[in-house]
Amino acid sequence: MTAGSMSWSSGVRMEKRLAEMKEGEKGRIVRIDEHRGPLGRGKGRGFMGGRCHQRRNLQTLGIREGKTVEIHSRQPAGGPIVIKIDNMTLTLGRMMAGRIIVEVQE
Amino acid sequence: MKVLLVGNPNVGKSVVFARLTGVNVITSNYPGTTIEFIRGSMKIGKGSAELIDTPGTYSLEPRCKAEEVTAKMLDEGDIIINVVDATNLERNLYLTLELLERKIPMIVALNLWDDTKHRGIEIDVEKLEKRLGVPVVPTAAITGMGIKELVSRIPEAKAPGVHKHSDEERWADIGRTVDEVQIVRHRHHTLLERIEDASVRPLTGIPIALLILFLTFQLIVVAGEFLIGNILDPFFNGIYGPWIVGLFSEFPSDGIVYQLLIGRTTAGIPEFTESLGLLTTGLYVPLAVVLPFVLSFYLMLGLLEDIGYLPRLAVLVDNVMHRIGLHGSAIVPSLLGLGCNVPGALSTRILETKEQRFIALTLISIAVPCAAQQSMIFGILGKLGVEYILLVYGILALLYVTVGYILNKLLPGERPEILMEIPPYRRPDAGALLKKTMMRVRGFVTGAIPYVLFGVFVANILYLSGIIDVLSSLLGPVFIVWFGIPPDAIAALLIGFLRKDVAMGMLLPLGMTAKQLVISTVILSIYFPCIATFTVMLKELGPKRMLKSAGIMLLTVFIVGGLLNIILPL
Repeated sequence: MTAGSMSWSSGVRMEKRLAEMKEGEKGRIVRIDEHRGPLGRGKGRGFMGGRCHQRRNLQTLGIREGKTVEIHSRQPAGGPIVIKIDNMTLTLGRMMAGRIIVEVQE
Repeated sequence: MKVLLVGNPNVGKSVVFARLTGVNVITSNYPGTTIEFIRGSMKIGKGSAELIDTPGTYSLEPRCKAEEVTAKMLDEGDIIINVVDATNLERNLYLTLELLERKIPMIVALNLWDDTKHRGIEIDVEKLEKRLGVPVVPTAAITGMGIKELVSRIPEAKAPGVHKHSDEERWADIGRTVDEVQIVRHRHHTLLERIEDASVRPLTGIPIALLILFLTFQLIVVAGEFLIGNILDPFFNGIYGPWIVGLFSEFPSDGIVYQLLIGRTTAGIPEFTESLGLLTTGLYVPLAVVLPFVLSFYLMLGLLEDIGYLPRLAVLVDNVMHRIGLHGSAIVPSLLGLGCNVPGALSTRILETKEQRFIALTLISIAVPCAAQQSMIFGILGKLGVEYILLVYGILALLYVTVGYILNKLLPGERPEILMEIPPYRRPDAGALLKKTMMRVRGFVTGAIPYVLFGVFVANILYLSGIIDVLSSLLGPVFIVWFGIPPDAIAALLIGFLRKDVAMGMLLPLGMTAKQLVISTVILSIYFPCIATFTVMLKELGPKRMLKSAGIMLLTVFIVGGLLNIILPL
């Protein structure tokens, strides 16, 4: 089963990827998948290993497991997502947001 | 003794630095203003110490070149002042813990303390001090609150000997600390927060962005033209011109001294823009044409920076920027480049990969005209009509996107996405804004004028020695047939390497048509950066990739210049 639209036992809660959440939706981050696999086209690996550190980059900015996150807004046509965590407003790209799994509150 | 200021981006390290040293540094309200360390000296008790401001970083494992600087600097420090954003304690403490593990004596400045109250945050400073094992001092660097206490407690800095933690241990530790020392109360949204909201939502954000950019542009032009029309032109034409001509009346007007210093005059007033005299063009162009626009540009840019608007703009343009291999944050180097390409080029360090930096640097060099060149575009093309100015800007904007799109397709490597904190709007401090503007303007005056004078001098040499004649007969066919502009324009291109504003002025006496002027202006922007920008690019890219970038510029100028000559119907 994918985490995409899996129903929780009660049916009240469900897990979604941050990238799939709608404006105003709120939830708790349960998992951040580390990006693995081929590192894009060519030999470039980004700075200090690029994507390999993505989970850590997200964490040091405050996007961590256990945090409550709210979707503030979504830019159109695959643009970035703006979220609120604690006191902060943060923006992140869709690919990254696709690897963040959130337990959505109804 | 070396004291390091270390902390997350946009927590106010540079403001603390300015308070402690009295040295003015550029500060703004967005992450990544400081991209290189800055040294100053401060007094501690009776002695003095070297204070080093470092680029902000979220962690000691850096994710871009600017952050790397900080991780490397750490080994040099005897004492660390860890500047912490009191309104974001949890995130900031991660770096604090990493720093404590380095076992360098440390003190924490709990900055932005004044912001905590209206955000409903209460922090028990004593408890925090106990938990961390180092002194913690609440500060509000902008107003100066707590700075004295911070200085007086520097000798108490301690290295409590924290052992190395794993990531999970650090976060657990931070969680416990925050629970223990901080209470956050719920409160209602303020008006400022509603504006913050509106300026980043696409439906309202895009119209707001267009309005802000339009107003900014208008204000820059109106203020610049007001200064020129009411103060500088009357001074140069009415007072300075006749005076300097009178001063040299003894010299024969076709003699070499007169030509070099004054140049051609009309009715007793020098031809300021095009005479190429050291005491006429050499002073008039930087002071009366460029300076007013530089001043009004930096005032407006500084205002947008200090309010905190730029990160919002970054979100709105991210989508487009992603298609050219960059991401939203790359709008900041380009905007800085509109003032001067040098700081623009330097700030590309906020980008994560070397391919991204290559694209950003090449695009700035090709399609982002600096304020000096823009002032001349206004002065020269403006006389023909606004539509010609718009045409040049339109061509350059199209080039920015097109060249970026092609480079993105050609270059290997990943394109990291945007990941950035959007700071709250802050009320700009008029004093700080003026100081910052004056610093940048002073930088222009002291940095540009020597180059302008040198450029004007070299231009004279090129003409007098006949080098121009040789070159224009050599390259003439390319210029006439392919670009459709007079071969003499080669002189302007040569001088453009020193100063683009002087080069623009050299186009005037060639008696070109509007179409030819537009083509020359675009060519002058694309073909190569000025020497100051070139030096920075060379340092950032290294010789091999600089050569590649220069090749792209030359190829672009050849294709675009030719195409414009064919398709422009003017």
